[in-house]
Amino acid sequence: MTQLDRLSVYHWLNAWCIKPVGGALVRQEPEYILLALMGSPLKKIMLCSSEKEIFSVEEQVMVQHSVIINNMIEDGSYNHEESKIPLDCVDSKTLKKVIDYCTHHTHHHNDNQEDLEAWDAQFLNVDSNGLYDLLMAANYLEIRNLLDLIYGTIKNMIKGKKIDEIRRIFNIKDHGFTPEEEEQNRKEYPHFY
Amino acid sequence: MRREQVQPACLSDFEPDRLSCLPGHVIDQILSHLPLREAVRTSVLSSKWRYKWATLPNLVFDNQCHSVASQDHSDIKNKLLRIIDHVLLLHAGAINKFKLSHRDLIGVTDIDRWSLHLTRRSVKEFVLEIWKGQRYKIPSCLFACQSLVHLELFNCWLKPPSTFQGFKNLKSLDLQHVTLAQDVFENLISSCPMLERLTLMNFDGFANLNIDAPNLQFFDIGGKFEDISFENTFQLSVVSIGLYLNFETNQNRLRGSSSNLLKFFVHLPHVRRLEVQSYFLKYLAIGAVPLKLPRPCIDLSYLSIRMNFNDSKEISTALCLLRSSPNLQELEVLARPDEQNVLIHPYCGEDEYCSCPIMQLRHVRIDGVSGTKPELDFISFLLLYSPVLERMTVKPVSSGVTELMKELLRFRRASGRAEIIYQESP
Repeated sequence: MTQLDRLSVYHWLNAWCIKPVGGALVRQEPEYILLALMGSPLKKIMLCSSEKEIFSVEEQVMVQHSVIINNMIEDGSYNHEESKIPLDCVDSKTLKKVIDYCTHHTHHHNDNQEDLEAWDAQFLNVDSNGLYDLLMAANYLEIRNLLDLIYGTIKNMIKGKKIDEIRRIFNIKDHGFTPEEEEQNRKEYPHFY
Repeated sequence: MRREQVQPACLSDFEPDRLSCLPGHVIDQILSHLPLREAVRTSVLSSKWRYKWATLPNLVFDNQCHSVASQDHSDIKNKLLRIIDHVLLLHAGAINKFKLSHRDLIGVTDIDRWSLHLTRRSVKEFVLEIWKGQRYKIPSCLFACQSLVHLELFNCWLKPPSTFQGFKNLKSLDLQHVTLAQDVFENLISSCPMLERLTLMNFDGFANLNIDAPNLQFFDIGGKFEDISFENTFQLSVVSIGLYLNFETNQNRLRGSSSNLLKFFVHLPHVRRLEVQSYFLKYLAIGAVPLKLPRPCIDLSYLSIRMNFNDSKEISTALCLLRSSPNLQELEVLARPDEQNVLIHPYCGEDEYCSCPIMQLRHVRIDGVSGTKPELDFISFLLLYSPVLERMTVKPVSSGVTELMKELLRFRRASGRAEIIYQESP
């Protein structure tokens, strides 16, 4: 079965394979079903969000992207049989997005640059809270390319914009300067504004 | 790499200002991705942001530093001076890197003042590029800066004070278009014991290079010099030398018949990558060229030479190198067009190609050939004695040299896997 076929089957089965196990929601990995059909095992690891939801993801995918997870696997503190990696500062919604990013970039790393960039732009089409959550998660997990992507986006939100506009974009309603200070700033550094 | 600009969706009144509450190191990262001017601008964003930029470790002042509102050069220059003064005065914390490279910065003495300030702030990387005008004289205070790890100067004049003790922590030195006296150069190199990388391009004021640097690993030089020798450079692994001076061999430069090639390699036992550019092979060919070096260069895996195929001494030198590099995998030979087009030393194919070694070459590139007998003999020799060759790329000096192509097809090859790619110039 080619990589493409497997992925399509994976996505189809994914929709059918959630079941509760002992109070937690566990995604039953369709790969295990595929295993029976194909007989090629894929090493999986379990990530646990702050809401105690468990996500199973290919070890290779996470190891390629996250320095933290790579180190954990390498120094042997992760036991495949029983443990899950607790990520208490990442909620389920954000963790899912992070996993999506890593999975896409692993499976599609041979795509051409424009396609990848278009996918990245679509991926970051989130509200600002979502953006910050992703930033904190990527920072915690040390995912370099996702961090650079987010920094690039934030840079574009600041660069070349007037101060008042930046304040609006980032919702800085109270700039904290006294009226005298604000006026002083504008007089002394008019080119900043 | 262009990124599409993504605007977040409209924010409600209840959304807090999360940007300002991000952890310090994340904000540092955001600011360091901005050009310096934009980072400094954030100081008026809010009272929380007043000094967030002030701990940026790297200060880069270049052409992007200011808005391009005016085309007047002196206006831009004044703005730049004010910006640098403002930033240096308000900056807090350690300054890791300072780079000044702006086309309108000519002949300003403020650089002296800033250098003093930076020396006191223990700057580690100092990059100064003076685009126009005469060589800028480096102020004495910079020579006292012992925190320097990387120093990069373009279009400068170095004349250290008599109290100069060297840079004890300097690991990387990059000097281009510089002037310094012979003794200043030698003293500079030998008094920087930690030096690992040395780049020297287009220098004047000295002509003899005696490199005494026990930790040197990378050496890249291009310029006019008369003599080069190494001392204690046993760590040197990447070397690129370009002699931009076509000296006359008729002069009495022989100094006995000691071989420049032998002298050159005495202190370079672990060279991994070697580039012999411009006329440097001609320099190495001076003296009695041995058949083989006394000690083989067992670490040499990449060799690039610019060679004059009409000079049989240069060919002998190249062959000596090939015989002495048992583990060479990649070879690049660029033909140097000879101005006189006359055989400098009479060429005799049989003499040259005695004692041919079996080579481990995998990739070979030959550039600028036109199909003369010495060139064809050389290519044929390479093909015959490289049993693991994977690819040879031949690029002729001009298109339509079909004789060359015919000969290439005919040559016997020791490697059954070898591809020969004939790259025509467009």
